[in-house]
Amino acid sequence: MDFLHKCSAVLFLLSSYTVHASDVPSTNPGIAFVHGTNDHRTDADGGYWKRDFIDTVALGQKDPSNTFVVHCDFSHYMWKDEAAGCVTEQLLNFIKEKSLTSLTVYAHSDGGNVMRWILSNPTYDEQNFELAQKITKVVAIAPSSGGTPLADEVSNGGTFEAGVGWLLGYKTSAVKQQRIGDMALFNNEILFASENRPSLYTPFKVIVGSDVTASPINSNSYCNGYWLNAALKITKSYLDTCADGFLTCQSQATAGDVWFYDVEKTDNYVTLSHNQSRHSCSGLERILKDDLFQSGEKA
Amino acid sequence: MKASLSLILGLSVITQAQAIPLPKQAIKSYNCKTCLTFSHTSLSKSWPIRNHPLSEDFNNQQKSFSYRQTVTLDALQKGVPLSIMGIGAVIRVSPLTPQKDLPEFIIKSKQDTLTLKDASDAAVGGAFKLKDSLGSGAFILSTTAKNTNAKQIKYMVSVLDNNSAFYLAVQTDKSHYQYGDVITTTINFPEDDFDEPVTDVSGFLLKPNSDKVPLTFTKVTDGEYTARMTLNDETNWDGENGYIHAEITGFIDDNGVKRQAQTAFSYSLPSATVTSVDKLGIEPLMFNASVDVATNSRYALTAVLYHKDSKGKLLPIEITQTSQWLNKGDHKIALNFETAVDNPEDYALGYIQLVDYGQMKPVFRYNQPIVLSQLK
Repeated sequence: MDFLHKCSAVLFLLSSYTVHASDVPSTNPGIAFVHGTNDHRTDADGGYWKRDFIDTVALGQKDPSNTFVVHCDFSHYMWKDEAAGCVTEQLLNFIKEKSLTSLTVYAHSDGGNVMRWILSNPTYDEQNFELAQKITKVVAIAPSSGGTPLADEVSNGGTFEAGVGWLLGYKTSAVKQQRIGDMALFNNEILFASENRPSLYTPFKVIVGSDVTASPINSNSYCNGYWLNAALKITKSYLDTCADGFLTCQSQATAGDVWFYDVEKTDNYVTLSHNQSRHSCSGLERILKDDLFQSGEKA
Repeated sequence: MKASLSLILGLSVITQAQAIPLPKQAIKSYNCKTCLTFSHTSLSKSWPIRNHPLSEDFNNQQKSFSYRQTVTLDALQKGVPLSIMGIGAVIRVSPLTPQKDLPEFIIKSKQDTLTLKDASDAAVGGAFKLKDSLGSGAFILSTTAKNTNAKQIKYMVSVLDNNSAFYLAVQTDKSHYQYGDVITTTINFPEDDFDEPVTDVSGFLLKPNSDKVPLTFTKVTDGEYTARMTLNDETNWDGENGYIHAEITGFIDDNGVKRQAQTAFSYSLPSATVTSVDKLGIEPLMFNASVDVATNSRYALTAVLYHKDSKGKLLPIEITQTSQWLNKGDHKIALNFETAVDNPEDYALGYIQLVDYGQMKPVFRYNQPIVLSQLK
């Protein structure tokens, strides 16, 4: 009798599983990389984001070819057609072309603000609305959610052209947007997910870069160019002790949930400067790939 | 008996229910050049939010330890005095005229005369972080570079003196203003540390179109000054913010000390307002907001549903956002929630915000939660 009961239970479980498995719709997730400030219409893929970094992260998903690199002009305010409008158009085309069922977005620096504006304003237009339904997670790497005093410096005159020009460029709208005072207002009025504001529909997980290493005898200083890191060592003088050379840790953690501070997960517990947090430095690409794999995206 | 009691309680709730008077706000139209390009499709979305307190608390005070000045090559040849009141300051020199190359600079302190590069721990491009050993006080920045156009060639010299005790803080009394509001700016600095009261206090309001409107500061007390101005700009700032710039110059130990600070504020024309919110039903939870519109544009109405916790504290649980194209006139905007409401006494509607996408700014905000049983 016991044996029969056990057999029936096993058969029931098997039949349940079969029914359940056949009910589950096939999933086809994808990933996309969203760059930071400035016009990256021609160099986002391979320049802003290096190919080895993109390819390694892509291996964390079921179909590595379901990978896209956004290439827009973020010298404009985040809500402008050249910024958010361009992102939604490119991502929706990618989703349709690949018939994706969900999308994980990796956004660096000001790319985090553009994504947050889209997700904070899902009813702005049909494109925002449709995209917001598909995005299941945003991984914001060193997002400029709270702005940077360096944007104030550039706006007040002169430039940081030498060495750190790639960060901000000249007096563009994106520079004005990322001033400390401006981001505080935008967070308070048209963006969600910061303190005292409603949360987003989609998880917004933040990776915080906490320092700059720029010593000729430290191998970490050479990842993605010694001189770019050396320049960030200077700009860090304008920031707090905890800063990636462009943004304070506080600014990066202003919105969303902190996933980890660099030293908590990187190889040898090293820090990631703002120049390194979009490249294969200290195992960042492996951390993202493993998370993508473990989060069930690779079914 | 139970039925009678329920009936009486029900009647009591109905008689208490009323339209909650929202703050009255005059509306004003503006010329919107881009509004017609916005989507005319009505869209609505709600989602659960974390039950963390929502607040409008906002402090835009910004504290500065820096200053900048525009100098000519001619002035640099003669020597430009720089007051640095703390160790390890950063000096940044940026060319303002077409020539890109920076000449070699020399900095003279009390003890030494060094090239700016040798005087620095780190140097990249035109930015130099001075060695702590140089100390603080009066410095002279100069160059031996020659040029026949020395009086026309200009540089911006910025000093970040962030290890100094001397700051200038600036803030406004609110973060957001509308047409006709008075903006009050307050600045603070440690005036007692100056050799004598500071007389050189100035500032201006900077509009997005780069127009500068001078501010007149009056002294409130030592180290505190205020300036007031009525905001009556009738143009669309197109999502951009205004800025207040303030500057003080005084003397400390006979060294001229300058500080410049800035803070941002938000400004919009009240192109629409929410006049009332009515409850349409509980299952599902639906509301109708009455909106009075002055400018044809796309508007997003957002509201939050609160639920009382075990201690009676209202915590946000769901947000809804509806966007519609609205022409001038009176309109209704529907607000729908998915939360199943059991007892209306335990729920409230709040955090009502109307954003005009033509200005990319909120034009109406009301953050006091209204208990559902009080809504008709």
